[in-house]
Amino acid sequence: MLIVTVMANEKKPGVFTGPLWTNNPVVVQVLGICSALAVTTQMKPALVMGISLTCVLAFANVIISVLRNTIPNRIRIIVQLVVVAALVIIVNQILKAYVYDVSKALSVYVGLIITNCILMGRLEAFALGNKPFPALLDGLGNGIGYALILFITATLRELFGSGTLFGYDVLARFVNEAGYDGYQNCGFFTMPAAALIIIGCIIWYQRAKNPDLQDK
Amino acid sequence: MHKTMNRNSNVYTVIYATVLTVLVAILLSAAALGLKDKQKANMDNEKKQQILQSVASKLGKTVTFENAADLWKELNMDDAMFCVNTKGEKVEGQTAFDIASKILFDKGKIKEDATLPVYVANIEGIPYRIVSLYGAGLWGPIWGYLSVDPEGKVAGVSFDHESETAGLGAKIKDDPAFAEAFIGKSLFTDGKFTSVSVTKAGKPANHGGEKVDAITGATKTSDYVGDMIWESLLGYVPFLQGATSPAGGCKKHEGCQKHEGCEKHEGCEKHEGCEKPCDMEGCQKEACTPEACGKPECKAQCGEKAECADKAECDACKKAE
Amino acid sequence: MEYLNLFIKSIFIDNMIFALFLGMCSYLAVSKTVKTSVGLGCAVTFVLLITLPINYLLDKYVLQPNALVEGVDLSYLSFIIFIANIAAIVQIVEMVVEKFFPALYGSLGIFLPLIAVNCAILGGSLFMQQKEFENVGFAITYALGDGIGWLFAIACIAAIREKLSYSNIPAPLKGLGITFIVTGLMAIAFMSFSGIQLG
Repeated sequence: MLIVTVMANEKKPGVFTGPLWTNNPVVVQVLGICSALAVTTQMKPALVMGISLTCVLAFANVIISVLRNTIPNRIRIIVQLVVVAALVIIVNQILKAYVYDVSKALSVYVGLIITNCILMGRLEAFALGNKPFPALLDGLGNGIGYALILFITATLRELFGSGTLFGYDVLARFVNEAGYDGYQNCGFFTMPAAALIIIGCIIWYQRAKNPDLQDK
Repeated sequence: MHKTMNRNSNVYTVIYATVLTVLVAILLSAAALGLKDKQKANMDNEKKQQILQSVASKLGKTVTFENAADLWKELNMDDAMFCVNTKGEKVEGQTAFDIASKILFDKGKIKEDATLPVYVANIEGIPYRIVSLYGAGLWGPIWGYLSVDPEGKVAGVSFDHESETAGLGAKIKDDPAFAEAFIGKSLFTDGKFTSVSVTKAGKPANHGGEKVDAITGATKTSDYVGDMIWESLLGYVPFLQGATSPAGGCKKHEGCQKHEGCEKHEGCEKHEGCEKPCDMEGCQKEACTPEACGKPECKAQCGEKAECADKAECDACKKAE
Repeated sequence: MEYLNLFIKSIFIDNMIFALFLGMCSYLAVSKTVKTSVGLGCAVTFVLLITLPINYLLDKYVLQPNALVEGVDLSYLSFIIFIANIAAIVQIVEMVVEKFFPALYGSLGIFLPLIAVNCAILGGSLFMQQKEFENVGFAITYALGDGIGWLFAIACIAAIREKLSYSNIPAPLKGLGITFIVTGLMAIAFMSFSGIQLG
């Protein structure tokens, strides 16, 4: 709430709220698709991935924004990569130490945050040209926008693919209580293809609601 | 803009890169060192879970990542593991738990000089010896643990894999029915190691002996599981059979089984110094241990076949009774 | 045989796009025409072929526990070493190609800077590290398979998109939406390869 109030004072409403939906990094800017698809079979890894990326993005945005006037132009990309890679390594170490099962489920996709286009995209497009505070908001906004899409996709995939939510049996119980006999998992939702189609449908829905986003 | 000129000079770029590298290196080393113990604990815990999973059916409960450490302590596993070589002799000086199964193999065959880890889980008085398995799967390495009961039968298995096809080959890990099928299969036929093969339903076992049906649609991965068990156990066979002693060693005790706690086995004449009575652990149908020969518990386990390999020895031991 | 096995698997079963979702950003952004898609696909294959073996050797002789100095485990640095290597190689390749093969630079050059941050390249290295290959031959095979798989995928979708531009698609689905769904359908088709078994 604090952030939102401060933001309103600064008259930059779009920086934080924009990326949440109307300028969402995944479905509108088309950035960071790789991990959005790969880690969404279960909700817990998806949530952890969303949080990890938000942290990395917010920190990287602030660091690059602080350094923006000192970075030598020629090694700009490398400096960005090094900062991001260092942050990702720290996140990876923390995940391995505290949520081991999730870090196994995420496997190499944590490392792939480094090349997640959201990061390079936001660093290049925003952090290099803005002060640290707006950069922080931009990082948080885009990170949460990304996490949101991950979360929606993972919810659908876990609910129908395994009949559970966060590992708790939901669908089978519901079906049983309704007087029918059990729920057969829809294996399709656990497969890679389902993620693509779900995100395709999210895009469809969003562009139907916001006609100005549609391709001509 | 005065800074911009400065920023593009070579010296500035090099210094900038150096400072950044040093800073990042310090930061990362600190993070890695600080979290190392916790990560190691997690990895150990996962290994403990896999090891204990192979006796889960005997424990009568599921082994999870969360309860693995407690179960491990409960069973006092830290004191119940040791190393053996491929001749079946105990090897001192290495911690079984720290041995990675991968390094024991060379091109899919167990190395002659390998030191193999053995874990013993004592559940309700019965010692289950857990051995480690490792081999090539269809798409990547597969590994696991197999527990053997005192009669040489499989008490349980746990498998894991790196990249078998989800929904097909991955069932070696995910489908409990596959692991359960191994329980109770004998690894030995008439005293000879015949392993447990994994072949298509209706097909005979590969090495004689017993078999488990392959997973439908994943025959290749299943084949590899069978191969892994065969190859990995080959190194353990002398140990599991109780091993005849090396040349010049125990001649009289031909049927004598090496058992836990017996230190003076090598060159042993009459097991002097051996404190524990032979606990029938390695009792084989064909070669019952002389100490226990004729005793009721021997017959109970070995049936009417409870005869010593060495008739004279057997008589001596009956007399002693 | 193992090489062939790995090669086939990395093209069809563990396809970079359809199974692992690596390099989706450029896959979606550059797949409007077949010509540029093939160009990018070749560039990706090329860079994979160079960086993967180098990263393999770095991993084996520097990063793994006890590889460089007894008792030192540098594996936590693998992300940063891999990406630094990739960025450096891409830079060098770009300079070399520009100087010695101007014709090739004309067709591939514009894609090279994009590639440093292509997930497929770093992803290839990370998956390779996870697979613990026995020797560098596997790493090269894997790189080739991954690259060809990626090229194959982007060429297919570009061809489909060229045709799609004449189709009557609901307005909200045009462009990105339909590309996702078509990719999903292609991924389903590719799933049928997962039963392939080579002796």
